[in-house]
Parts: sequence; C-alpha cells; structure tokens
Amino acid sequence: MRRRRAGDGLAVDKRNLTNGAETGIKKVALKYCGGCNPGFDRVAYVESVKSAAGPVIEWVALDDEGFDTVLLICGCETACPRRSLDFSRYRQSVSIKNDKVSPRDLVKILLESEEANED
Amino acid sequence: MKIRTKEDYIKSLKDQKVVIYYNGELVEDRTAFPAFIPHINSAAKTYELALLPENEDLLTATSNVTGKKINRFTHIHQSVDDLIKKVQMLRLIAHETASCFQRCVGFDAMNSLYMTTYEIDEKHKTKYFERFVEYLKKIQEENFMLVGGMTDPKGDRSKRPSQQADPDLFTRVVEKRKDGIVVRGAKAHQTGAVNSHEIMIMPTQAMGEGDEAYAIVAAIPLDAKGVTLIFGRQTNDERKFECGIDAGNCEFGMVGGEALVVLEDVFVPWERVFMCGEIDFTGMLVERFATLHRQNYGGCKGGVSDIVIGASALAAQYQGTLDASHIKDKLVEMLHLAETVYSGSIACSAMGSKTKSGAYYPDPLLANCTKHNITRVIYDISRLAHDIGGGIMATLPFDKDLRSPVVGKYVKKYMKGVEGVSTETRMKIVRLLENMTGGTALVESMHGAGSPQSQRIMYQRLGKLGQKMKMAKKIAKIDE
Repeated sequence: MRRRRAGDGLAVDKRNLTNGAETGIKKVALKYCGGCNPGFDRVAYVESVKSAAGPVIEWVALDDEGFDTVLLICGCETACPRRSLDFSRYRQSVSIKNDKVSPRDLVKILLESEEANED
Repeated sequence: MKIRTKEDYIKSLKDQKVVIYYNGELVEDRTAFPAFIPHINSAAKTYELALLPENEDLLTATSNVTGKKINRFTHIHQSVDDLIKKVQMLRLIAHETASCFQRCVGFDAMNSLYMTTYEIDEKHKTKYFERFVEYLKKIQEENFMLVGGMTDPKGDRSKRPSQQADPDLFTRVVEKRKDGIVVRGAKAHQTGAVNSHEIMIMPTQAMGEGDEAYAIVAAIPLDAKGVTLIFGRQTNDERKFECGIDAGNCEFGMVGGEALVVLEDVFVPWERVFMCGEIDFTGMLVERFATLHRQNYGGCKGGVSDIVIGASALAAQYQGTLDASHIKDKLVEMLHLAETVYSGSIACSAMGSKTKSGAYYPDPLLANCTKHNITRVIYDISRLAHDIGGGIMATLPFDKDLRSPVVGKYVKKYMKGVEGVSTETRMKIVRLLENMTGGTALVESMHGAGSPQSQRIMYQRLGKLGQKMKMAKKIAKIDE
C-alpha cells in the first residue's frame, strides 16, 4: 500500500517497508537540498534528529544500499531535490521544509513500521 | 593531482611556481602571502562545500562527458535546472565568504567555449570542440582553477586592435609554429588569477577583418614561461595584514583579488588552442561568455547583499535603532533590492535554452538586465547600509586603540551602544559593513562582467524595439 500525508512542511510518501525488521535498527538515507538560502539551520536540525533517534537509526547516504527510507531536508518550500531526484525508487520518503516538526516526532515517523501503516 | 580539499588546493598552488608581483616585490610563496590568503580562503570554499552533504546538491554535478561526479564549477550546463543550480550555488557560497570566490569566471569561459567551439567546427571543419572536450576532461578530473581571461587593456578605445599604436594592447598571436603558437599581450582585471592554476585567454571583443591575429583562444598554465602577474591594489588592502577587526572580513577577500596578467611571448601547443583566426566567431564567444557571466550576479551579489543586510540590522540593533520605523523600512527596501537581483538571475536561467552543442544557455536579454541592475542596486543597498550604520563607519578608531592600555578605556566607553553588547562586537559589525560597501567592492559591481554601457548595447540589440512599436500601433489603431 502507499500513503501520503502532509502538513507543517512535512511530506511522507510510504510504500511497503521491510528494512530493519530483523535487527531493530533502521537504515535511513539522509539527503539535503543544496542550501542556497535556507530558512532554518538544516545541519543543526539534523543533529537534533540524530540525537533524538539515538542508536535505533543508522544514517546512510543515498549512494549507499540497504535502506528503505529517505529523509530529505529542504531549506525552503521549493524543495529542489524533489524536482530532480526520483523518490519513487524508495519505499518511504519523508521530506522536511522547515523545523516545525519536532525531532522526536520526526523520528517516530521515520520508525513507523509496515504494520502500523496497514490501517 | 586531483584537488578535493582546501589542503589539496593550497598544496597545488604552492607546488606551481607562478611569477607574481605585489607592490613592486616578487612574491615567493603565494599561499603564505597575507594579501592573497583571503582570496585563497574564498576560492577554497568552492572545494570545501562540495564535500559537505548539506551542500553537495548544488556544488556537485554529473559530467556529461565522463558520467562522473564532478565539482559544479567544472560542469557544462545540461538543463535549465543546471542553470538555476548555478545561481543558487553562487548565493550559497557568498553567504560563506561575503565576498567574491572567483571561480565562476573560468566556469563561464568553459561553458561559452563548449558551445562556441562546436559551432566553429560545424562551419570551418576545424577540430576545436574535440580538443576542448579533452581539455575539459582534464579540468573535471583534476578540478583545478581556471581564470577566464577575456579583458584586454584595449589602449585607445576608438581604434580596432590592429590599428593600435602598440599592437600588444590586445592579446595576439605573434608566431605560428608547427607545434603551436606564440602569444603576446596582457589580460587586465583578472579575477582570482594569483590563486588559480591556468588562464583561458579569449578575444575581448568582436574582431573584424585585419584582426585575425587577435581572434585567439588558448589555455595557458600560469607557470608557463613568459607569464607575469601584477596584483591590483584594493581599498584598505593592508588592513588584511593585521588580521584584526579593522579588516572587516579578515578571513575572506573584499573582491576577487584581481591582477594584470602579462603574456610575454608565451608558447602554447596546438592541443591547447581552441580558436585561432576565426574572426566570425569572436562576437558569438564574447556575447556568450558575457551572458553566462552576467547571469551570475544576482546569485553572488544577492548572497553578499544578504550579509550586508544582516550586518546593517545588527548595527542598528547595537545602537538601539532597530525598532525605529524608518530603519525597518530601509531594511525592507534592502531585502526587496536583494531579492530583485536574485530574481533576475533565476529568471534568465529559467528562460535558458539548449544550444547546438547540447549545453544550456541563459536568456541573454534577461542576463544582461540582471547585471545592469547590479550596477545600480548594489550602490543603493550600500547607501542604505551607510544610512543605517551611521557616521561611525567612517570615523571609528583603530582596533589597536581599542586594545591600547592608555586610550582603550575611552574607546570602550564612548563607542559603546546598547547595554549587553560590547564595544568590540559593535566595532566588528561596523567594520564589516565598511569593508563590504565601499571603494573597490562598489567598483567591482559596476564594471565586473562588463560596464553598464555594454549591457545597454545588448538592450538595443535584443530588446525588440520594432516589435514594441508595432504592438503600440495596433493598440492605437494606427494603420500607416
């Protein structure tokens, strides 16, 4: 199944998730926009998210393999990478355009399992 | 070597021995010379940011000739998106340096040559494009810094190159050999020259019959025999030597560190020659280079203006005027102006088109409009910064006065603004504003990428005045 939700600069695009089911550690690929004129400190925000996630998320890059979920950090509403990258290749992509979503809530969204999405 | 990091970049500059004069003296080590370090730091950002995940989307690209991931400053634009990303990248880097970071000139030279050599070959059955692509691969692989060498000294502007009393006032070929050519002349105002690796010389204007020797494009290493660089003087340049508050922006440059590059009978092998005598393509090349370069200015100057606006707001805050309605209004005006110039760069990129070579090219009229606005808007922004910052910008005591055991207490006491902000902090922001809004920085906005008249000539050519007259006649129902 596939679901979308949006609001507060947050967009989630989900398909069936499998990664991390065995180990309890989820791999998430982190991708930033280029940062031409961001409205918030993207790096500081990501550090907060990483801190909130602790060891349950293993952060990788888009060039790596073995992840289901992509976290896209965009500095403004334009969200340039959504124009140039094909996110349909990934089972779940979560994109952020501001820092209104708390790091803790974002981690929850990233960790939501396949079962939790079957409603 | 392949340059990836700032350290690689500095080492590569150190390893290449270039003849550079500063204030009449030969510079032994360009990487350790205090007048050049800020410019090296600025250009180094083009390498450093490419390695950061939070910036690589703008600072890197995929090469159309090798398929490899490369620094965007060595990329040939393959789409409108590439053109837009170029502008976004320039604004981003300007936020880091508050100054010119120089590398766009070589970038624009590469793109204009890629599209123009393709068309020269198409007409003249030459092999320039093939040669140029080989050279491009080398730049992309080694990631070195290229000077875009267009501006000749030009001597008497009323005369053509071949009519000058001194024929070297335009760069020319003085000898053609079996293995290459010999070049003589000079390139003036060369941005980033003292901290680059090679220069791409190009004709400075459209050439006519009799000017064939001046229709020359060639890539020359800056350590080639016969190349001498003479660094240009800048406003308050020796403040950089002190590395203190008075420099305003000690770590980075004020402008691009421009130099006069003298070419005294420099030999260039044929594989580095990309035009030699094709006068019919000189106008096209100059126009393309100018358009690609004028495209940039709303990006880099927009980004630099963001720093000026922020510094102006801080200066107001530190003196207790930030909440005054007239200050807020002036800051709003500055924001409007900065976003206006940025809009121009984005617009000419968005309206870009594909050339025969496959490379993308910004809309030339809109790009010229963007640069023309810069010749006015940066002065307007600077004027507002001076208005907000106050006379203290012109009369502030020295950094050493602040630190003096005798008069330091007076500077601290009488130069203080609001409670909770130290005098030193206030001095730092005032000096930053002074550095960014006066002297050489303003002249660069006026003449960099061409003086305003050169843009107005483009309006006459591209502005479709006749079409506008027809439209007016139609609305007014005039038949004759």
